[in-house]
Amino acid sequence: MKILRDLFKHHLAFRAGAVIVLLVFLLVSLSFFSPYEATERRVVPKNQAPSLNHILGTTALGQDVFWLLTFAIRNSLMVAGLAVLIGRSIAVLLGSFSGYMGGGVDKVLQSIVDSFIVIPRLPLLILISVIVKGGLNLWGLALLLGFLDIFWPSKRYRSQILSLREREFTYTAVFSGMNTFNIILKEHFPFFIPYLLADAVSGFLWAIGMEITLAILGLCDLTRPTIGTMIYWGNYYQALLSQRLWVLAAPVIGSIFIVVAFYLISTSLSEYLDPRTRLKRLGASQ
Amino acid sequence: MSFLAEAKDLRAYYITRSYGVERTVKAIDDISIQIKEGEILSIAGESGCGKSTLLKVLLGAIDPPLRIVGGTMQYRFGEDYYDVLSMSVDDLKKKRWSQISYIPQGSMHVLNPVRKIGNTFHDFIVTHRDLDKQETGKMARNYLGRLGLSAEVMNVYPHQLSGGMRQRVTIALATVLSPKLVLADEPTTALDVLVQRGVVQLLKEVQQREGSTLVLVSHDMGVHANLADRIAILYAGKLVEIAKTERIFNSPTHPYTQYLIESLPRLDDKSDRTSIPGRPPTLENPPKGCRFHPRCPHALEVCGQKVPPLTDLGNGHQTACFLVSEVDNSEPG
Amino acid sequence: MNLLKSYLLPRIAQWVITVFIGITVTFIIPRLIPGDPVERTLSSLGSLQTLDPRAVESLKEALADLYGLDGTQFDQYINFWKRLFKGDLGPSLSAFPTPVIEIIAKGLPWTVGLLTTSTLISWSLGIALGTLAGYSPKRLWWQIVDKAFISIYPIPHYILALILVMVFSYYFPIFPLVGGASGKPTLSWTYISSIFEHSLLPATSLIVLSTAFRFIMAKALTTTVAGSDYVGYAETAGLSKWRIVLFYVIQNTMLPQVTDLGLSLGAVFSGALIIEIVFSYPGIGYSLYMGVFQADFNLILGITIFSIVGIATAALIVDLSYPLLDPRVRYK
Repeated sequence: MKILRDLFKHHLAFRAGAVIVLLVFLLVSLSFFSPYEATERRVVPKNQAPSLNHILGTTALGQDVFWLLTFAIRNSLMVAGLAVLIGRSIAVLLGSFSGYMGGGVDKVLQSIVDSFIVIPRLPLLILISVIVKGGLNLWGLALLLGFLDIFWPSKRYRSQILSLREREFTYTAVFSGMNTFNIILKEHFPFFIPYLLADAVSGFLWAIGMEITLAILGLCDLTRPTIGTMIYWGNYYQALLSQRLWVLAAPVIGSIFIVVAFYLISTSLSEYLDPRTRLKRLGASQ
Repeated sequence: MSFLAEAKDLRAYYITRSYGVERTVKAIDDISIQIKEGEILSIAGESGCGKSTLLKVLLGAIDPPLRIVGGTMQYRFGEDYYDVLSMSVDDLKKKRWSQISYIPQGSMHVLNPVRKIGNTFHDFIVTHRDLDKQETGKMARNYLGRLGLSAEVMNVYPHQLSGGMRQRVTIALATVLSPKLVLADEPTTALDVLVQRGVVQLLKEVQQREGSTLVLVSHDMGVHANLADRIAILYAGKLVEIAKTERIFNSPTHPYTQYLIESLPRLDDKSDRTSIPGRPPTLENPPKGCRFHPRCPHALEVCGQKVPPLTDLGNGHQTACFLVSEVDNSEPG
Repeated sequence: MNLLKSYLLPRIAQWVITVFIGITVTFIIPRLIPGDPVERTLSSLGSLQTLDPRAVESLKEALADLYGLDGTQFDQYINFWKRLFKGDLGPSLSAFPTPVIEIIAKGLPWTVGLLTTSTLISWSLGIALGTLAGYSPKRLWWQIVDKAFISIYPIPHYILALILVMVFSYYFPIFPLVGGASGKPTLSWTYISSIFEHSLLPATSLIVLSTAFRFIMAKALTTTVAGSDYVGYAETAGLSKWRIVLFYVIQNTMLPQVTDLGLSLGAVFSGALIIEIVFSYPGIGYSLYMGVFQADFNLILGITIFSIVGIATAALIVDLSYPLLDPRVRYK
């Protein structure tokens, strides 16, 4: 909590990011008060430019862009959030297991992890989506994205664990007879968790991008509004050619605000956590 | 007496500000010291007493968060005087290596790991001399030869050298342009004992052959005993005693110096070595009066109230201690 | 020979493992879904009605052969490998009976061209700018560049490309919208300049995003290296700024960048595929898009396998070149 307060007070980028994220959540919570159902079509006049009645205009399917956007952002955030939760949980387990075990187990695991890091994920993602075809609802998508985003983070977590293992307080704890589980829980996790939070954002950004990509290819549930499917339908009814820019502008600008805000928060958080900055905060000795 | 560098009433603080927390570390608090031409001056003290900072100021390398808060600092080269604190960074950099040089602590990492030693020599020489690559190479090889180092090192990378060899190469790199003043910061730390001896000898040799002045910072009193003409003792950002080496070792007057000397092992003495009670104070919030008084066994009432002035005891021996100055005052004449 | 044993051989072994794991995964995935894969594939093929019955029959045979459904799973797995060793990825379903490998070969030069040019440019540009920004972080100019890259970096490939399409192809139609070149492939100036013109927007999207990534990484690395003893010592000795940046900072920050390039090639490639889709650039990514569009499962599978092997190999080449840059690996 002190971290957040400090950052909010003294870090401009963090403040900007936090304010945008709050606005985004406000927008998402508005979706619960929407006058229309998320999947309803032909409820408003088609292809209306932004006006007082429909502040962001309407789509070719007769949906109000503003209210549709609140649902879309909610779903996209949910998919990305769930994917991160799934992927990072497994990554933490894998990374810490590998890091704490060390030796041959670590070697074998790392070589598998390195393999998956090199393998390009998009073709694999497309291959799987094509096979399960249509069966990929929002939950399935989150699960799939989560599973494909385990390896890079697990490698990073492993090296964090390795460096924590080498630190002085670990040795002190070992010599004072603390058992391994307690050391991990009491000595290592307090260091690890803020790092994890900052790092999770990168997975979040990736998941948002991949959701959009798969939706553009028509490979996920197109009846549910997400940022990706909004663009898909916009393209489908040729929003660009027919100069109905508002249909695409809403999800495009919305997604940019979301990713930039989350990224700003993550970079300012990791800057705050950087040992060098920490040293400065604690006061430099010689 | 001609001096090469002189600091007067110098105050150098580390001032940092981060996320609303401001901190001031008073690394050097009112120190005056003269460095005489041709001497080897050693600066001793526990870690965190300000000795490395003093060396940085002598070098004129005053980068934030380090700031000079008060006092003056001068160089004298020939007949010319230079006010270090008002010199531009560029002018200071021009003086480096050709006039003032620096041998850093931990030579493990001061050489660029991906550059051949010969190229590093070229970089350092060409910055101060208008020579081409062949000439700098020749100059470096000749100098290495004079120091008894093989010219082979020119063609290798730092990681291919042993720790001791790397430190010798660093000494050669620092002194290749025959600077008048050489500042060395813990040049033997992190080396094993046999190698330390060689490095100390090399330093002495360079100083004698080139007739340069050497200022040496170390926490190792053994190194001081071997090398120094004069020794300055620093405690918590203050100069507490300065004298010729034999006087420091044979008749130290400041209680802190006495502790330092007593804690050294002696061949003829089998009694337990006493260590100094208590811990050194933080430089952020040092005690009032004499900074040593909380740990001093002879502390007087005045020690906790007033800062003892540096008192001249004759023969260039100076001490900042009320025990000495009080005694001086009470004796007639 | 020490180098071979302690550095080169482990990398080559890692390549073998990567290819093995990647191919095995692509073998397993289609088999995890219940049902007859031949029927499933045929039923999803929209263009089936237009094919004459004889072609459908041979397509069925090809598919059965392709999936190698005879024998145990293990036999199938062995057969899968045998075919791959012959470079046989089977026929495309939408353009039957054109072999998938032929479609890939057609798209490959475009993708490789786009990828190498943009990687080379973004890698050098990102490192150069990032190093300078990291070395003088207080300059206003670098702070602006820094903020700009930080705001660009998280933008998804598709979104950035879409914005470029909107701006430059609809509102300021300076650049051609689709394709890789115009006219017939000849060695004429017009053809070559049309390649350049067509690649400008796709390459720009890729370059902007990859440069942002390299910039951020280079800046962080530079901050670390700039605080190192050897840079501090060179500064103390008064070495000129360009000499320090060039020989002391960049030569060191470049090393982790090379390692990272090897590891991030897969991500870069994925980005390139998306960009090709947006700009209808005639590379592998566009073939993949057509594969998805026409439910050509075999083409998708082939491209997946090909990209796994291709990227693993490219990453190996990057890895093997590392000792040329780092003497600590070269002379151990």
